[in-house]
Amino acid sequence: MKSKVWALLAVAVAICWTLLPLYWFLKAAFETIGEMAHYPPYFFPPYPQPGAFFNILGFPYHTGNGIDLPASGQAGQVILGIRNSIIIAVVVTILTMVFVVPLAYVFARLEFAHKNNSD
Amino acid sequence: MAHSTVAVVRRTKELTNLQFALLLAVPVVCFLLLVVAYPLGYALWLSIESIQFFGGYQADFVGLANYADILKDAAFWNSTVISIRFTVESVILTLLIGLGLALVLNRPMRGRSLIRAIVILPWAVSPYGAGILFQCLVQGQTGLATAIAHLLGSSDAFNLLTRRWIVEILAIGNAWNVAPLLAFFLLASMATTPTRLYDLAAIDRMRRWEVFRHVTLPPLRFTLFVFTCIITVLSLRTFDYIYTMSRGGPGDASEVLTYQLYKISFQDLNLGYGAAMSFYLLALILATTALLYLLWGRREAQ
Repeated sequence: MKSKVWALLAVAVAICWTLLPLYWFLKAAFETIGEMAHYPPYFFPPYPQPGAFFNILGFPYHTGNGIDLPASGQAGQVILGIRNSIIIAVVVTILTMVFVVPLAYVFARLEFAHKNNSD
Repeated sequence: MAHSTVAVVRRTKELTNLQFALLLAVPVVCFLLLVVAYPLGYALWLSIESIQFFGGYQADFVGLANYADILKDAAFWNSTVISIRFTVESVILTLLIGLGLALVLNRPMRGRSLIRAIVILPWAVSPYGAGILFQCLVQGQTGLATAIAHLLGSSDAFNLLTRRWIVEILAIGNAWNVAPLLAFFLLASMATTPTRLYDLAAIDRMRRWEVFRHVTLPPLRFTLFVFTCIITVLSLRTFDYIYTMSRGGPGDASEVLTYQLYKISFQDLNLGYGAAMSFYLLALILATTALLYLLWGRREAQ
């Protein structure tokens, strides 16, 4: 019984350690710039709204409590950046598969001279 | 492509295993020459030149003067000390946290796969993003410490981005970012430990600590060694994380070697000097890994 409590506590600590920094950042995503600058910082956004997610892709957003969040001027770069990331990820994966996997096969399955010269 | 190569081998019976291996290695070696040897050679050339941009581009041969000047540079030694401090702290924290996470996740419990999926999340955050995230988390205006202090009735701002603690904070953030990967490799090693050994340990009436010390830990030691090397190298060469987290600041308190290199090469445009310093960093990385191997790795590899 006692060990079960400790185990539960350990899991809780592990999850807090993992999620707390992420939560602190995610929270900011649902705040307006004014709310982010509020002192002391909020534990939870007073009026959570997903405006920033629309703004970075180039759409304005009108919040429920009457604030207009204009589209980000850098939406073009953001979309270009996402596109570039996808291209790089795909090309790197393909090149690695094509060139390195056959080599790995040779090292794993065949015996040849000088195979282990590194040590 | 692979299929046709195999067919050729069968028909002509001429390629030996070695030749086949070399053939497949050609593209990889060409690629490495392009992306490793060429930049390395270029940096070597830069490091023995004095490059000037103002008043027209000019490269003058100065021999080893850059290397000699760096050894007299107080900023270089300051950065070296900070780099080593950051690396040692990162390695210790990552090993402890990674081992802790692995031990927690290894216990049978409900919803284990969900908890595992949550714990791997920080590894998916890019170092660049982790830097912005931790800056937001620790600075006085937006930080968690300030929010908690106000909850407890204080009205002070608790800024953890101070000269005294910045390197420790950076190491904690780095460990947060990297430890999940170590935890998953350790979990994989733990899965290969036969449960019979734990039954035997129970018959021997081992205490918990003894079970950990004599049953759980031994199969993990090689993984721990490999990760000590990996984290050492990653920490010594990390740049983007520190660039977004603290920009070398406050003052020069977190100017690790890579940040110093960036400043010299791309802000002061002193490319020759920066290139020479990068070879000191390379030497530091190689020396540390060699030392780790001599002191620890040789015993693990058998």
